[in-house]
Amino acid sequence: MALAARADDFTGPLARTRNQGLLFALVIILVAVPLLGMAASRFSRGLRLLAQEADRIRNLDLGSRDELHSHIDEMEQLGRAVTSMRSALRSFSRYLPRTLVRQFVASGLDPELGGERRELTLLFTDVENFTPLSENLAPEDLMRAMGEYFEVVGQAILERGGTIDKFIGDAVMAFWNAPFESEDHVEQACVAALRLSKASEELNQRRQDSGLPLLRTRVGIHTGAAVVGNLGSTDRMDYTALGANVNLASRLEGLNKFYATRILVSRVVRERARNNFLFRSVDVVVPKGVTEPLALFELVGAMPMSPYTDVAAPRARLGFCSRWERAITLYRTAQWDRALVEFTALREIMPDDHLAKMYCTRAERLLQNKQGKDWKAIQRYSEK
Amino acid sequence: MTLVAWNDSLCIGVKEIDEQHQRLFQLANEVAATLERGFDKEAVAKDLRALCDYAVDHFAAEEALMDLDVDGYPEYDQHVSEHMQCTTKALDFLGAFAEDKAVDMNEFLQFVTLWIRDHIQSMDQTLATFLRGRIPTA
Repeated sequence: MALAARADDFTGPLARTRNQGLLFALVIILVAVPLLGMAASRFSRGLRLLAQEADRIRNLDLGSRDELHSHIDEMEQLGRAVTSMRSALRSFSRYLPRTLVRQFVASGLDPELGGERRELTLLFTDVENFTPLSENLAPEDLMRAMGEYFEVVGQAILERGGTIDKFIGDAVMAFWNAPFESEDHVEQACVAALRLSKASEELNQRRQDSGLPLLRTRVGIHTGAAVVGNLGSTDRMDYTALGANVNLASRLEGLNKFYATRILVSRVVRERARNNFLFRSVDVVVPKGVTEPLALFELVGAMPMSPYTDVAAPRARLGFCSRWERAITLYRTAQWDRALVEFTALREIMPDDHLAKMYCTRAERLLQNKQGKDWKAIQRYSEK
Repeated sequence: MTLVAWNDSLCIGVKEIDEQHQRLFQLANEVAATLERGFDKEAVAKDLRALCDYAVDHFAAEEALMDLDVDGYPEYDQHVSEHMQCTTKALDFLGAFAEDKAVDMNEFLQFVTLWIRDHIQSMDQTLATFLRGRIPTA
């Protein structure tokens, strides 16, 4: 006996179940794949943002206030950790020369103790009559005033690629040509000096309007070889410059007080920057503790035809300075009568010019005393 | 020996200035002549001083002509800067010479003569052109 039945009768329910199963699986897959994709992309977006943030932090770019939030717990924690690291570094970085640290990070080298000999242009500034000024101000007001002042001065130096070495009381020490090499470091320092001078004058204008005491800046610039590098101990170092030329730059800054000048520079600075800047001869001096006579020059401004029009000297000053050099020539060649005529004329052009007044007095005195042939146009200073 | 010889191509056509230029050439040649006779510091110093003094007066005369019209004379900046550069170079040299430092007298004379010639042929020519244009209206 044989029974014929359709296979369907036996396998039908099985096949249906299989088909349903396959369909169900397909639906699950179709739904799950985009869901997984979404989850994965969220994950990777978070990671990408974190990586970008880490890169920014590496470059000490700590300005961003973005915070990373995620529904994934671990991700959220990581985001919070990065945010707090960034704000910790932000407060910390205010104590650091950022460009310097950035360079060390970029080079991949650990800063090591030790220095190299290199030609630097050094710039020192300080505030005229700071001691009496600081005694008359409440400490909080003084801190606020100095904070504002250093911001202005520091900005002008950094904008021209200078390295701020340190702030010392009311003074700033900065240099050019280290750690970054600069072909025109003398020129950059001169622009910075003129700009910081101008900016601090503008600050003074605002201070005057609010009845606050003025902070007048004096600057000294010198170029010469110095040792520059990391100094200190292995766990706390300073990137700084040392040497006789560093002291000389600081000395130049201090000499401003004898001449009522704003920016004094050495001969080498004038030689190297004379194409774009206007200088005038001030004096030849032997400062305390120095044996070689040192020629002083005042940085008057940028040349009217230089690219630095914002700090250019008025054209009439050019004629004044040319005439000034002639008067100085007469004085140094001991022709005091002719020198006196010239300095008197110059004084009429600029009645407030302390140097013209000083040379009139000197020439008058020399005429009265009838100095001999061995007279030398050199001033000796016994105080700093 | 004549260090620099005057020729008419150096005339700029302003009588007062041309005469001064010729006198400058003469004074530079005198320094060279004194040096030729052997190094006598006193004599050289005297001639150098005469040259520098005259140059200083000459610059003053030229600048007085320009100063009347600072903004009118287009080469004012360049011209005055060149005067200043020459004055300070001479000042530095005279200072070093007076202090008995080692100085290169020939190099300085070379600088001065070349400078005068170049300056006459460039700056002073433009000044003369400017002055000629101004005189009829003045």
